[in-house]
Amino acid sequence: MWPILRIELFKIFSRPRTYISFVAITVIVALIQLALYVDGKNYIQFGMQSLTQGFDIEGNVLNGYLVCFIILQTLLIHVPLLIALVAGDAIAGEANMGTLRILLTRPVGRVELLLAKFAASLVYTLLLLVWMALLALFLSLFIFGKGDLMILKSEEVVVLAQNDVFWRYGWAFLFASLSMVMVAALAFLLSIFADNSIGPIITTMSIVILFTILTTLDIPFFQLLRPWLFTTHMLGWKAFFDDPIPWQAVSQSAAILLLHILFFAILGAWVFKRKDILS
Amino acid sequence: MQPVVSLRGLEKSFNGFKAVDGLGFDVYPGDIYGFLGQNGAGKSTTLRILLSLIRPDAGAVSLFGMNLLQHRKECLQKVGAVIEKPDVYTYLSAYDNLAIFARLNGIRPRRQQLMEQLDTVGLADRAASKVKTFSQGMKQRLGIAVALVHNPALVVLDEPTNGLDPQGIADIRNLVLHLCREQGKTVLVSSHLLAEIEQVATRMIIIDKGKMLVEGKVSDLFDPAQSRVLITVSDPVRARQFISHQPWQAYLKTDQPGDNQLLFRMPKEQIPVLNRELVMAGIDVHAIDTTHSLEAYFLSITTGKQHVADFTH
Repeated sequence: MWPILRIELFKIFSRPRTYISFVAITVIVALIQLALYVDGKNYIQFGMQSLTQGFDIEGNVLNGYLVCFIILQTLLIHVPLLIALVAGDAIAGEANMGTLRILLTRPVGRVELLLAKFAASLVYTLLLLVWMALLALFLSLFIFGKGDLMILKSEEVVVLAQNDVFWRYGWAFLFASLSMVMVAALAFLLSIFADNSIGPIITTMSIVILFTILTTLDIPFFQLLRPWLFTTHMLGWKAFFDDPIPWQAVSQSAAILLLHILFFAILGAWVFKRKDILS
Repeated sequence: MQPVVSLRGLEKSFNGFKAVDGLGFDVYPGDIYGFLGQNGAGKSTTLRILLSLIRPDAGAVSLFGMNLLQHRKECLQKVGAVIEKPDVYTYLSAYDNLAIFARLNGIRPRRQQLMEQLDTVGLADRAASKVKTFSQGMKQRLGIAVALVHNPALVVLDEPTNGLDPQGIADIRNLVLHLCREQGKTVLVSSHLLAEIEQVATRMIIIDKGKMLVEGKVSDLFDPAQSRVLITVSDPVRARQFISHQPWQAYLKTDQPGDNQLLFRMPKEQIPVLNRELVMAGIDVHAIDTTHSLEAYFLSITTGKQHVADFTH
């Protein structure tokens, strides 16, 4: 499978559209960092209005860790679109170009090809998150420096000592990777059913947006649905900034995401193996 | 002799429409096998089944004596194909496309080898150019280079002359002959252009609505010297009476193509003689239409003008 994976990676990174995601993340992260650098103190003061009435807050609140947290909260919801751009194109794009039928007349197993393409999509997804981590965490630390991380939640304030934060980001990015891999797996599955990539990309985003709305709406009926929606578990990265970390809940979310990935991959392989290539 | 391709009882339906209906034929080593049928006859579906792109509902496909479903990789290792359009990665260069498809076939040719293959199809000087800048003819040639990059024993070409100018069509014809005669490959070529097949095929099959009409050696199936001659006359009743007492009767077909028309199948050099005799007998000849060899043969085994029009234009 390695030679096919290399070919798939070569194809992905030979396309200009692949770099749109990296450029988009760079621009968004840079804009947020610039805004916080210029006017961050006011933004923090506004956010902590209720706290400052009762507490004295000292030190570098607007530090790299907080900036990274703000970026992740803003950005992670949009990253699925960037991932769907490539994963949704993996099979459908080839069908649209007519190259799928050329590929499948070669002595390559269908499942083998599918796995190589899936693996290439995962590499792309992980590289995108590494890039995001480099910009959001390391660049923010470089610009804003270190400090304790203070996070305002709806019912509490979590303050994490600066030497207790970095490893949490490691886990958070790992968990975010799992979430994004799940999105990639969904887009990839939908890609198998389509003959052009617009369909899978839009459908993936529609599902993510719909589920996210259902996850965040505070209506009792939707609350019943929440545990069953993968978007609920995709937000599990935030739990690494709780104190203590709810490991059981995090593990459960991770397991659910993994099961989704496995289900999408197995279903995709089953469908693709039987699919008539008419494109 | 073991056939290179062997199809038996092939069936395939799409949403109740039977695209291939009990089709079976053999292609032998060294054949240039013409696969003929009008648009929608089931040619592409059959070729896609042959290349494992489509799963048949019933029937068996063997390549090189191996069952395709059980030995897919081994079978496809020896096959090169261009199906419908020569689609390649337009955002990559010609060289990269060739290298990718070579590796998918499990070979890692040296740069020199790939350049030689590009040179064979006249693309060596454009090796580094992105395919999106290529003309249709250049893409077609690259598609063929991609199909041949692993030196396959069987070459499958589905409508290889589609969208090509006359020079391009001639190039493909010469290539097919070269592959068979000089390199000893077996070529299975589908087309709806009868004249193209006629010039290269050694064996052929004609299919219609997914079924075989005829199959065999081209030389056994029709006499290239015979032409289909449609004569429009002023008085067809008198013309028939005249012909019934002449040797021309042997060439007259029983079909009634039109009110004032007579249909013959005859050597083309006899046409002026027949024309002269009809005129001398006082029968005005308004028009003579002739179609030759394979086209005439096809028309002789099928009926319906629409059928003919679809096939020959």
